[in-house]
Amino acid sequence: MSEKMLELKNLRKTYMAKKGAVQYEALKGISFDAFEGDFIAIMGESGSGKTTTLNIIASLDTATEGNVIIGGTDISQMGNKEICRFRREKLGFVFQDFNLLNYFSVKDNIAFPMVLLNKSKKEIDERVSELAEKTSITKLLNKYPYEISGGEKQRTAVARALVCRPALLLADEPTGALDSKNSDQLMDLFKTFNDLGQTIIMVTHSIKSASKAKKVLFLKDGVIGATLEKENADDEEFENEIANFLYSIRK
Amino acid sequence: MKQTFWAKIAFKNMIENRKFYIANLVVDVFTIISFYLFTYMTLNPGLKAAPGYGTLIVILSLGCIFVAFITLFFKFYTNRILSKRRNREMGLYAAWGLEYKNIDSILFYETLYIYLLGSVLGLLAGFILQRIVYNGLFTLMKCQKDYAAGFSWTPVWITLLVFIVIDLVILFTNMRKIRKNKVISLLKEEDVSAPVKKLSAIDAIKGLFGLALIAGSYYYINTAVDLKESIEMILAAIGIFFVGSFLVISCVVVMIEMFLKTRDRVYYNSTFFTTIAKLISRTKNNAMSLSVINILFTCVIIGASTTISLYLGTQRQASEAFKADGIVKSGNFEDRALSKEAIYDAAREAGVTVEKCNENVLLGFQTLFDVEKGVYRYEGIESKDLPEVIEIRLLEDFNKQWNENFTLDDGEILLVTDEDLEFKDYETIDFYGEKLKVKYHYDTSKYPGVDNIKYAYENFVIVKDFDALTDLHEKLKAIGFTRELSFWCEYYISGSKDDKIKVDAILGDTLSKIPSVDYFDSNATQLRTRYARNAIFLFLGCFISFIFIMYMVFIMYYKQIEEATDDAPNVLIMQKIGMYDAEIKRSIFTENGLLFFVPVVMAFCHVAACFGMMSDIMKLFMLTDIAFMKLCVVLFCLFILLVYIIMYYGAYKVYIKIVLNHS
Repeated sequence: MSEKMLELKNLRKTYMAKKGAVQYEALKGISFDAFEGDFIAIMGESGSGKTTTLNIIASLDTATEGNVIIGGTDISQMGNKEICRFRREKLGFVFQDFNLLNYFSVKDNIAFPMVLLNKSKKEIDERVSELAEKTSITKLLNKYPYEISGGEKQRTAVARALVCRPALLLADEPTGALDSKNSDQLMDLFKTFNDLGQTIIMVTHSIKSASKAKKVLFLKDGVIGATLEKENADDEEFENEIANFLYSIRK
Repeated sequence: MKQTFWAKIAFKNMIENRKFYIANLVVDVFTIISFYLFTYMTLNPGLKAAPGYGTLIVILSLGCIFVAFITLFFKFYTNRILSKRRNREMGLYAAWGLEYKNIDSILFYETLYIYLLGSVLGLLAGFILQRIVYNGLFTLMKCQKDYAAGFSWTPVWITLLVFIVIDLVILFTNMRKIRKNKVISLLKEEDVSAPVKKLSAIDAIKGLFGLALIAGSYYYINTAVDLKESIEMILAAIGIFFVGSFLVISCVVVMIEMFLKTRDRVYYNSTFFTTIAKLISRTKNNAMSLSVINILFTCVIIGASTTISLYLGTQRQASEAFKADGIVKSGNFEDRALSKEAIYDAAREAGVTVEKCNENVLLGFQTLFDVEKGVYRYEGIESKDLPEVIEIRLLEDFNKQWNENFTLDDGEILLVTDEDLEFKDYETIDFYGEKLKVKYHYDTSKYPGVDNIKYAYENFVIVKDFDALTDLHEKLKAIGFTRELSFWCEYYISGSKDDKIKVDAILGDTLSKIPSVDYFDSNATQLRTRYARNAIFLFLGCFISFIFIMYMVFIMYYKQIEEATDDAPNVLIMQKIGMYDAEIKRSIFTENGLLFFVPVVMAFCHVAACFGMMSDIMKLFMLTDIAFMKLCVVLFCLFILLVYIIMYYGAYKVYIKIVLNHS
């Protein structure tokens, strides 16, 4: 059996307006586990708590209550410096708006997390070349982000997220800013890396993107409303299953 | 719609954009204080008591005009940053259906609020500071204060008027810019992370040209023979330094940064990775501001350090200009006893003694000298680039003055010709038709005067005795010469500085009653007049330097706000990737440090290159102690560097606050 990679225990998040006048409970007790090699999609309407959940897993935000245990380490108990170290070593993040740095070339954007870990130039070159090949951006390495297309930017972001061989790849609406062709290419890329053993947790609105995952969690008003497992279904069948499920709950 | 509505909108906008408007207000208040103080000083009736009142007024009036112009320039600069930031906001107004006249109203009220608030605060601060500044100048001048107390409306009106004009010019420029732009281009978000501008071969040429300009200026400054001409070239030199610095910063510095990027050991180091990459983008984008800082910094060091050394070296200048305690010249040789007696009487009255009294009888006039033939004439000889003067003196006086033991026979002379004139071994010279046998011939390098600037070629004919001098004088008279023999007496007295001042006052009073005394000067007088003049220079040098320093602060502050706002999303990305706050701070500290210290290093190079010219100018003012001047310049450089480091640290803190608060 695969090793438990992520454990979310009764996660709660309450936002408070200044002076404590207004409270808004974004998460009302989210619990789920992810195992090594999992590919989980989190779906839900706007305001359901998807991105908040992902941000807390990514340690970009903190929970009001509950625990986030990644690879046996409870990140809720970590200090800021430890969190940063943990993030750069164990997590990879792909954002909807790419979050590439314009003053770095594509190559340097990918290499950035490795430089922070003080890896040697040789190691950096080898790893960047390997990922550039896998994400089909080898020819773009010397270009700058403002010189390449949205799809290419997102593939660069994926390469950057994976460059330090993270335990967990987190993606927040990775296809949100892409056209259908580029979205398909990106999801194929995710699937390829998942097949190679990469654990992925992805927030998405897209049924088609979610169908590439092995499991889909549906969030509603800050709680997990339902879970769909792909099991032996192919992408198309799973896409239909998700669509039917969403249709049924709307009805 | 009622104007009050637009007035309210304008007020709300200013609150929303307070980060930039507060900076704008600070600039406004500071420039109003500076201008008001200059105007106040210029118009204060008490200034009439100052020595050199006429010159002082001219200098202060020029200072007013100068401050007004740099204020206009600087307010344009700060406005450019602010208006660039607000394009989108203006575009939104247009998209919501506001007519241009409505947008104009909003802009007008914003300008009005800033003008009124700036004027009130600036003038209030000016009123508080005026007495301190005024008394400060008079204290520096070491002369009695005559502060014209009370309030005068004239400098207030002038200040308000000048700033209305400046603000209106800027307002109309902003209005015109909005009308010229299409709504869509105003609405378009600025590219917050400016693309990396790649360098081309032309940039390399431009960089080399910039280096050549600076090197050429350095060469010219250090080889220019004519100091007067090189001073006249000062504005052109500043322009050349500015263009050269801009090209060097935008091309050469970027090339160095790009070179560092190719050094794997340096670049792929966690401390320098983001620093070098960002610098390549930021240096080119900031080249103009950095060049302005470079020029301001250079001007501050040169202006302030020279005026400080001039003021602190006043005693040295007076001593250098005037070796004796005093000198009296009588145009009538017959009155020599009267002049001498006056010196001794004044010393006695002051309770001191005359230690030494060097008497000189001489006949001095302008002449022409044929170097080839050794002929002196009024005319018929080609004149040189400078006037030529000759003094006929007595051997006894000369030997005494220079501690020599020359001897002359009848008809023999000792000839001292100007060191810059060709030296010939004359057996005899033709002195207005009279043949004089040259027994000794030297040039003036052996017997130097005290003037550090050459006004004329100096020649001396030393004759055997008084009979020989009168004989020559008679012969000159016979050919139409009208000048009389004069008597000079240099005196040295015992006693303290105060005693000498007392003698100076008594003697001045006595000599004014002797009609033939046409010149009286003393060390005490020199000291007094030099303190007064140097104090004005110091006041102007330091005041304008202070204004320049404040402008540097404002430029840094504005640039930091502007760049930090642009950089905040990048910092957020870095944090998401896992960069610690400490790493981000270190990276920004190094990056900003390298960026903002490039102009300082260049400014120090400019100052070092200009030092020769600075010391030549100081020599004009009789400050010949170059080691002292060097010490003043070095100490001031260290001081200004410290001020800049503090400024830089403050600006860095602002940057960090903006980027980390954003995240």
